[in-house]
Amino acid sequence: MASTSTSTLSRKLILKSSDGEKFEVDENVAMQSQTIKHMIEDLDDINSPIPVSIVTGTILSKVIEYCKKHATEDSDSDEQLKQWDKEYANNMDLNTLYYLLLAANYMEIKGLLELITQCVADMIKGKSPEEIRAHFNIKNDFTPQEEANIRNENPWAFEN
Amino acid sequence: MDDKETSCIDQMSELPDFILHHILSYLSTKQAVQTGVISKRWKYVWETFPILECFQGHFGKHLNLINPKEQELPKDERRKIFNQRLNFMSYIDKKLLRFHEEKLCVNKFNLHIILVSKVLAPRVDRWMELVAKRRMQELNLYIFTGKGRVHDLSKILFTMESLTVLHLFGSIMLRSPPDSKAVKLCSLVELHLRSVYR
Repeated sequence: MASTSTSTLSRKLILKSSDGEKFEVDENVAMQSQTIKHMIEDLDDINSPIPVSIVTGTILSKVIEYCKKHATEDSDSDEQLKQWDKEYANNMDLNTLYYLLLAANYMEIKGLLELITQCVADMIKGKSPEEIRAHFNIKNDFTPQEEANIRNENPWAFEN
Repeated sequence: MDDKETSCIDQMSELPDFILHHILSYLSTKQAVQTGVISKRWKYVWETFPILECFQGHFGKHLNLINPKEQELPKDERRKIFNQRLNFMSYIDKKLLRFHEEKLCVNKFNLHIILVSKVLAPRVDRWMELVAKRRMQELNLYIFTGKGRVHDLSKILFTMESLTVLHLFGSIMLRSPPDSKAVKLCSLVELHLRSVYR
């Protein structure tokens, strides 16, 4: 009964997160994800929920928020969209950024992956290795000697 | 800070290599090198980062002088420059050898170098041979030599099948090959030549 008509705009899909939460979204929103796009093409059955198996509901709702913004070709200028992206990313804590990166990668949403990697890179920029460790809670597993050796190998990079 | 459990876990280090490489690609070379000292995991990520930026100027500001002798620099200063030049070259040697030995991909190789002496030329050829086999997509070469010498890279450059972008600038010679079949640059979409000899 499901017609394969070309009126794609009005079609709705249901995405199901790893923890069973269901989200109804417009097809063009879901299609921002290459992974889902391929799934739809393969399945050709859009009535049953599409599992997004490694992404939790909390993260999936954020991914959908991003996809909705980028699917609508409304009056937003590039500048406005950039501003929106920036605020979107800045509102996330480290934990969420981590899961968003994994989700963007798994769902193949290039724009989102670039946005979040850029956001993490911005956190690294201008920080010393000590500050980076503190920011991301990274444990220094080098002995002082090992660390000194690495610094001595490329002294130019550690000079101010 | 310790009231939130999640804030104490280092998750970023657990990201797949290529996502961390993606993050490094937004940093300056200097800052990217610095990430190598954060932890063993980040050292590995930096060492396998497929964008190789080798700028001589990073190793010393006078390295861009073609002939330090003519600049009448004091002897100490000239010795320092000599050592910095050695450091730069062994940095590239080590890096490329590692990529070669572990068969790592090189996406992009940027090289800025002044070849102060003709004895250095075979070293550049060797580097080109090493990266040519690493499925490289982008190559940016900025090579200058003293005394009007030119560096002929035609043979090796033409074999780089995976190359999509090629920028050449400086004392580089690019001769058309006797046989057009010798040109295997079948993926090339962008070519920039500046001051290149033919």
